[in-house]
Amino acid sequence: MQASPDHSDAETVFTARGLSKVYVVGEVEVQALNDVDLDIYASEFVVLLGPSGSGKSTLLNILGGLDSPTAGKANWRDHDLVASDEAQLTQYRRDHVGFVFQFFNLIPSLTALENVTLVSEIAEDPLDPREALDLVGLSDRLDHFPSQLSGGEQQRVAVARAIVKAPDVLLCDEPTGALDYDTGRLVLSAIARANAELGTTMVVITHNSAIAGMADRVLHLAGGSIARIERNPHRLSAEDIHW
Amino acid sequence: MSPLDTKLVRELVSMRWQVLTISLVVAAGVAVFVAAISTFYSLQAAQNRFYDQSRFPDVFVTVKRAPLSIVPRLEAIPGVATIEPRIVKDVIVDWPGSRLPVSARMISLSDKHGELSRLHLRKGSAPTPGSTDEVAIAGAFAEANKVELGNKLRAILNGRLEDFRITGIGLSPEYVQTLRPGLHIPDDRFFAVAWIDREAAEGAFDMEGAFNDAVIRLAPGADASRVIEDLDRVLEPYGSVGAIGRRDQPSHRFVEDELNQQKVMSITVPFIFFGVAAFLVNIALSRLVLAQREQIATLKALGYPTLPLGLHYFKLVVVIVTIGSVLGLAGGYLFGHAMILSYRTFFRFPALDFEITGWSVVVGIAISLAAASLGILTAVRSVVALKPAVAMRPEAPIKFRRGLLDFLAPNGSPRAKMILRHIGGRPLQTALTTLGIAFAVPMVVLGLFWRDSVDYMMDVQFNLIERGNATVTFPQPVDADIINDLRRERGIMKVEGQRYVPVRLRAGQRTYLTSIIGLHGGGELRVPRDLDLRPIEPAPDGITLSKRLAERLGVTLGQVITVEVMEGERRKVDVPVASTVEEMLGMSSYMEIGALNKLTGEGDVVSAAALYIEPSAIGPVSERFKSLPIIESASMKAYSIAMFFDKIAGLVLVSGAILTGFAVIIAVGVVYNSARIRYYERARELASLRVLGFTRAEVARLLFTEFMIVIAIGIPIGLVLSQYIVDLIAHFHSNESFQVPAVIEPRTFAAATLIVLLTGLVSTYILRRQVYTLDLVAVLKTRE
Repeated sequence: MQASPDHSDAETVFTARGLSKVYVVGEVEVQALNDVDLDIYASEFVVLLGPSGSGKSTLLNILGGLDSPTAGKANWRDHDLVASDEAQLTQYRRDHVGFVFQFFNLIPSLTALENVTLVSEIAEDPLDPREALDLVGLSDRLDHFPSQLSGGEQQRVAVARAIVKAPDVLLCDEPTGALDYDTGRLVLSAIARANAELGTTMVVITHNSAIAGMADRVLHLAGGSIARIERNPHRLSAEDIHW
Repeated sequence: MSPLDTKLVRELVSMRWQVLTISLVVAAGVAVFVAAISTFYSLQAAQNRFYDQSRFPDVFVTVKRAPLSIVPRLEAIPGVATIEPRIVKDVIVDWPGSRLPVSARMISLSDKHGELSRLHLRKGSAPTPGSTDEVAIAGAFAEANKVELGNKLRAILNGRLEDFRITGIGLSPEYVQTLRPGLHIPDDRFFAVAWIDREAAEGAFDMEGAFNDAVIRLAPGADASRVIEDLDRVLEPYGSVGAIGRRDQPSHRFVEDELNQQKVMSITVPFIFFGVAAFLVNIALSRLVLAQREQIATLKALGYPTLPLGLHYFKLVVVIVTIGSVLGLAGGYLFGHAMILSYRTFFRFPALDFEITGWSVVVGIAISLAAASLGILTAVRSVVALKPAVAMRPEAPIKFRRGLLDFLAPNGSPRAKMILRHIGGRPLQTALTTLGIAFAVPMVVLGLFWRDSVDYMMDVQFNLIERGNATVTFPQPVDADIINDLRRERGIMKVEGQRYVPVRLRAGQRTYLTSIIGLHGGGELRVPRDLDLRPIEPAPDGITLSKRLAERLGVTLGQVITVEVMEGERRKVDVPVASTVEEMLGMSSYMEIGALNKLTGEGDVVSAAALYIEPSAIGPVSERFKSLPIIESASMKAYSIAMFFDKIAGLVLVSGAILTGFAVIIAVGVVYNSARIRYYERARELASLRVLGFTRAEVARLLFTEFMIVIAIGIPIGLVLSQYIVDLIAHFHSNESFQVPAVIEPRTFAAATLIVLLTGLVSTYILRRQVYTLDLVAVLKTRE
């Protein structure tokens, strides 16, 4: 199924064609992705929705340069993500990609500000770390260590850490998965704000279909394929979604 | 196979490097322990065998001259089982090819020979009874001078040159070490022991029907000191210088001292090694268990009882200790063999073979097992003591705080802060790792410092104590005018008279046979020095004793001892102990030469002279000595000492090199395992950084900088520890023959530092591979 809607005016940033991934676990082959074609456009907010094992994480990992497909092509603009070696993929992540993990993965020995500064140091044209933290509403928690922050605050530091590089794309893997409702919404609004104010392309994995309302497009994955594409004519703000 | 056993096997495979390095640490401990103890017992067994087979006497006595007719009186002394009267004389030897004077001790062999102090022939045969030109010589001299059977030994006997044909090369239990008289150390090169037939000796030394030396074997249960008293009483009129027991027999004393040293070494060094190894194994295993905290808790939650769980981890210990013990025993066997091989040239026991001492194996393995089990079981206990629900949750994260660094460098980079906060964040773990690395340093130093010690002793002997290059002795005390005569000889630049008086020092029940050395104040050629290298100035109003001698006699400063002169008028004089000094070699006593001569009542006499001969004239001068009957023997002490130290250096080189090897293994074990654990603890964090775009090199640098800082802190601590441990070892190794100076040269410190640094680099290099293949995907999904 062709997952390219009518975006002829926007620049295509990700292109995937015939993307397949087979994992060999012991003697069993698992088809994680099966012949997926996909285009993602600049500044687009894409949500990948689907049950466990539907292939959404595999797709995200390939887009993020963390994994390589068994067959097919994947490109970030003119970067060939399939043919790149480890060093080139690292450079790609460094220059273009921001990650937000389900379990935050902050460096426990660094304060919020230092966590963000750490990543800004490896970026070519980073935001001011304080500005990034301001963007996620944490200006008053700069000097707190992760252990002194709530889960939602930690995840917002993670978002700030991801956007401080001013990445072209932000990949979020279950960003609210470990959070309760209220803090989850705060994180989502931080993500939406980055998308709106910085024009960052967003690819968000979630189990939570309510989040789909925030997206430009929702890709429903099942059994390693894109089963359905949903487009939101009107995106909801984080404050307007409920679950 | 139970699932837990399957788990064990799989874990062993996946942790193979850790298992191997920990096993190697166990192996190093076991190897050193078993080798050192077995070497000691092998030496002792060889000594006992040889003493038994060759019938080593119990009592030794030297007289001026006594008629054979009194032998029955000696035999009648209660406690005497066998006595063999002999003729023993020191002579000058004209040894072609030796620029330096060679002397020999000639010992007569009677037809009765074989009952006592049997000559063990390695080659050829003993001189034929009745022959006047056959001689058997000691193996040490033969080897040092490449002597073949049939070679000639030309000796100066009563002023005449006499040629002897060498018919045999052998060993006597009295000369396992050929200690030159007056010198407390063996001299294989310039001092020969030679056995000739009794008739030949009678003729050569004008000793028909007489003897000047006797060896005695005691009846079982006899009291040696009673026999010695009786012997002294009977032999006093014949110029006895006092009978001695085995303890004061020079070769035996030296061998015993060496054996004791080996015994001490077989306890101290392995225990230090073993202690460190056990400590490291303990730490490594407990951390390994703590890393499985959640697994253990889950199994507990599933209803696994504690005992099988404990047993499961105990099996891990058994596997590690088994691998370690097998490797350790193999290593110990080879190490012991190498040591015995190097000892063969030193202890000349005829049958010296390496035999493993059974109990050392049992004890070695038991200690390893205990240390390892203790580490693993306390860790398991700490986990099972928690409620499963608590234990399944990850350990509470470290509460990081701003540290000193934040005050010193508030604008430091986050990477630098990460590194430093991690070091400070787990102070106990950092301390243990640092200590582990610190202990690797003295391990290496222990292997290497002997060389420094020996070099130091050489340096002191040559440059500070023995400043002349030759010593001559006279057959009896002679007028001090001889010094002026010698000064006139061509090539002799400086001469200083010395007086050696054979005495028995007595303090209550304790006695010691020795010679008092009479010295001129301000002498230049022989300047005895104390441990702090200050010249020993004998006090004019008393006797100066070496500290060890004072300890042996049980006297302290100011107390009075009785000096029993064993020659001339045989006076007995009470003398106060005026000072005590610590010396490196021997147990000496000193007096001012004038005071000493007054004590003996002999006027201005000397019995030896220290010389400085112009180096180019050494040959002609020693040639000239051969024709001066006034000179009994001449020696180049400095050379003898140098050779002895060379020999010791050779010995310690072998064990030092091997110890260093083991030390490196331990260092690798510590460093690799510490690095590995640090890596485990940080793997998730490092993988996150990789996902965020950090390169492999950047991430590796983060981890290794932290580790290198820990090494950099550990090494200086290790250097300080080294000095303490070497002090301890030197203290235990010192004995009556010589005191080991606890000297560590900068080069040894440098080598130890370099070796530990290198093992650190190699360990990080191995781990770098793992950092490079971090699973980046897993980190996105797993919770801490």
